[in-house]
Amino acid sequence: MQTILTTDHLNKQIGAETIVSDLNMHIAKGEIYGFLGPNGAGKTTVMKMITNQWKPTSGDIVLFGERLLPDSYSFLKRMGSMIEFPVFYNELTAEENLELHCEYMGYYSPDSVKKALSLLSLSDTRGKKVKEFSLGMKQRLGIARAVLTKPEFLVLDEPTNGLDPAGMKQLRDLFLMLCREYGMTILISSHLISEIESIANTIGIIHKGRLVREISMKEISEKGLEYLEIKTPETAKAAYIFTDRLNISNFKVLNDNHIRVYAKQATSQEIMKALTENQIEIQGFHTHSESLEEYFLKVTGGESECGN
Amino acid sequence: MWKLIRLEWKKNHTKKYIINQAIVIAVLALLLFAMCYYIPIDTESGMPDSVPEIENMALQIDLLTNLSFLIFTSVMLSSFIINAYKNKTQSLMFSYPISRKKIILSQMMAVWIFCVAALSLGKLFIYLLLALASGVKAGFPLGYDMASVSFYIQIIVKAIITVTMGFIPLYIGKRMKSSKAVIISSFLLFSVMNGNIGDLTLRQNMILPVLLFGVSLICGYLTVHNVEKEDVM
Repeated sequence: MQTILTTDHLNKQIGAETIVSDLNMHIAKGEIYGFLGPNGAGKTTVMKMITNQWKPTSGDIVLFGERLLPDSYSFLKRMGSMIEFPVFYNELTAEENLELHCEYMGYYSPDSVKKALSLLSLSDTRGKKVKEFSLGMKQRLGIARAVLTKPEFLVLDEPTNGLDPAGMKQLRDLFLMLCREYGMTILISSHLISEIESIANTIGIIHKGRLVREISMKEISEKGLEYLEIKTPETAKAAYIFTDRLNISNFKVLNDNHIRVYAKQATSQEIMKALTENQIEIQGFHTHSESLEEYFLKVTGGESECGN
Repeated sequence: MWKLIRLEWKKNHTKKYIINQAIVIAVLALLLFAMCYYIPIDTESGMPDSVPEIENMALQIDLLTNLSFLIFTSVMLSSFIINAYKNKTQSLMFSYPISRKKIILSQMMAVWIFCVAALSLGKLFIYLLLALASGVKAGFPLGYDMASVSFYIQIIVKAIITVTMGFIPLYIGKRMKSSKAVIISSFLLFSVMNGNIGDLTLRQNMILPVLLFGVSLICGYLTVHNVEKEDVM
């Protein structure tokens, strides 16, 4: 699979403080990469380094197959970004701001500004000065600007900030559409794990400046994050049935009364059937699906401000 | 580069600066006209009874227009560059596929071209106004000849030197990340240029302006040279 971005032992130090440490990140072409981490974990710093706003203390960034140098700038033509909060020329209208963006990007396509505004439901406000915009409108205008030139790689830092649930849903659909129809690769950070969970192909979890896990969503579900928990006084006997009859090895006896089965080889119906056939008393059972949030909390040791 | 300069003018609302500079020039013209033609004359000596150190009007025009435009240049440089860092629009500019050096240079040049043109035209207007009224008895000699080509060359050269000196306050302001530092240092710079040390008037000494012009160019270079390696805060 073609890679759009790779970072190799990336470090950023400001004074004595290490903000990002030994970060190795891989983003494949055409995927949505969810970048998760508690506040202050280093997400924005990494995004600033990727867009060359901040320079790494050491390590390499390879974008579109080329190593980023302090004076690299041509790669920015292939990128769209919105990092921290969107900044505009407040005295200019929404339309003028986007036209200015096109001029600087060297992008000339008729009606592109109108289309971008319409995509973010901002058509009615195109003649309005940005200083009169609310936070949510500015956020949407920032995204309109980032996608305006149809970049290959989109870097968005907390794009859902300040948006209502309907606005969030609209953005989620937009990102999926951009990915599907234009083949855009999107790096998106958010503190709303559920937002990322529903759209991302790959998750990168950063904690205290280190990328503690980089895992595809498919892998998360395959790793047995779904399990069946059975309440029975005969845990030893049940364990025997699992290994001997059902060939299941991926289970955990929690205590004398509870046993947890992570197996993918057998369905919950097959497991229950095998237990009842062997006259094992079942006092209760439930299936549990570990959410990305639980996984995230586990990986970061529960030290998180993220939530739904 | 020219396109970048035009975009700088567009997004910074240069029209408002044109109006402001027109007002400044009109006020200066009025003041200098009054100074030249309405200074009370001492009836006994037949000499102007105030500001005895005024030698001719050309020096006064230079002094006032240079002071005004050095400050004006600093205000504009501060607005185009220092404020852009403060309100984060410079981060936005650095997200474009254009070299940072070129961006800052275009911002400096947008102010420089505008101020050199405005100062030259403004001065020319004042010179012309005073010269047209020369039929009236002037309080002081005008001290310039508008028929000479060197007069016009001098206007442009002096405008270039004055406006370029704005790069010194810009460099100080960028280092200190402060718009106020730009304005204050432009005042100080003007004081140095027009101050006296004992009997020595620095204004009439050619070495100082040449030296300051050289320093201005170095400051302009220093403002730009390391910008690619900096983190945009």
